[in-house]
Parts: sequence; structure tokens; C-alpha cells
Amino acid sequence: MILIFAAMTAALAAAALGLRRLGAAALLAGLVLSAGLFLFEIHSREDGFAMPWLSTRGEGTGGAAGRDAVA
Amino acid sequence: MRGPAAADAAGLAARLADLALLAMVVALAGVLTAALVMEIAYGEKPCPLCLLERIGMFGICVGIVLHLRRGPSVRAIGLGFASALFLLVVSVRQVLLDICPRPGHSYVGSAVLGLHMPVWSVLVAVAVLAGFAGVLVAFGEAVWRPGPRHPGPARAAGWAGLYAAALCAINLITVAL
Repeated sequence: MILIFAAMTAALAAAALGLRRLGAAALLAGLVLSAGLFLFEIHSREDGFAMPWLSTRGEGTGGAAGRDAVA
Repeated sequence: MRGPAAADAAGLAARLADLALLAMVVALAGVLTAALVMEIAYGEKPCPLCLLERIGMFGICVGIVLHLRRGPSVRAIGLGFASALFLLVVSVRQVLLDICPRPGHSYVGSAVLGLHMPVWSVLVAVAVLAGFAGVLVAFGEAVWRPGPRHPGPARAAGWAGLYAAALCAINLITVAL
């Protein structure tokens, strides 16, 4: 997180001073690092990237669970 | 409409587009300032996803300031779009994390006007994307019009960028401590 905020601070300072290439490069670096950290934060050992608490395939909905029950 | 009148109209459209984009940066700086005040003055510590949402907002500021500061740039606005998309993805995921009450999970921080911070972040992301779309629809090619532009928005964007850089540096310090 420290690296990401450092990259963003550099990007903002470069943009404000009119250094277009440096600003764009620092922003891109910050966004790539942020995307990696985001995926790390939301990944769980049990569920992966799934969100089982939002399951919509309950009984009587006609979803996969319902079909399995019939079979 | 041809000649000087057309040039005047295009120049006015370019200036209005610049002012609209500058207003977006100022509004985002206000949101980021409020978040920092709530963190420091009211002790509302942000979670990692909250911090990533701030990164998305700072990224939008970078894209717009790059566009305004050194003449129009499609690439800079594209970077702003990418940051807005990142903000939307992170905030929607955070809303979905806590949307169903369950042990150990609840929205971080107190509600503002009945909405928690991740929900506000979704609204901010949608507002920014709508703002970009509105500017492009309203002013069209004037957004990237080459040639001399009024120096006011560029100068103001420089100061707004420095202010946002200071906010980001304070965030850096609070994260490091």
C-alpha cells in the first residue's frame, strides 16, 4: 500500500508540474499494483473469488441446486 | 457557421469542457479531503479496500490534470476512465462483501446521510463516469481541440493537482505509520 500511495503521489506531482510521461507512467504503475493488491485482498482460501453468501441458487428457484435435487 | 465565428464557438466549447473537467477534480479533492478528515479527526480507520477506492479517485485526478495541464490528451482522459472503472469495481465488490449481514462483517465506519462509505464510492464512480460521458456528449471534439487554450483552467488544474498530491502524501504517511 505504501508503494501504491508513493506512486500516486509522484503521479499527481508530475501531472501538476506538467510532466506528462512521468505522470502517466507513475499512474499506470500505481493502477497495476492496486489491481494486484485488490485481487490479493478479495481472494479467500475457502471460496476463491466467489461470494457464497450471495448465492441465488437456492431451493425452488429452478437453478442448478434445484435441478440436482430433482435428479 | 464558418470562419472566425466557428473558431470562437469551438474555443468557447473547449473552455467549457476544460471547466467541467476541472470541476470534477475539485469535487474529487473535496471527497478525498472529507475522507481524510473523518480518518484523522474522528478516528474512522479505513480498510484496505477503502484505501484502494481513494487510489481510484486520485487516479481520476491524475488523468484530468494531465489533460488540462499540458494541452488536450486522449490518453490522459483514458487513464482517468481506467481509474474510474477501477474505483467502480473495488467499491461494488466492497458493497457486495457486506450487503448481507453475517458474523464478522459489517460496513466500515459510520453512515453519512444514511449511506456508508463503500456505497458513496459507488455513487462517486458512477458520477465520474457520467461526468466524462456528459462532457464528451456535450462538447464532442472540442475536448481534444488542438491549439491555444485559455490558461485559466490549466493553471487552476496545476494547483488542484498539487493539493491532491499533498492529500495523497498525507495518506502515504498515515498508511506508513
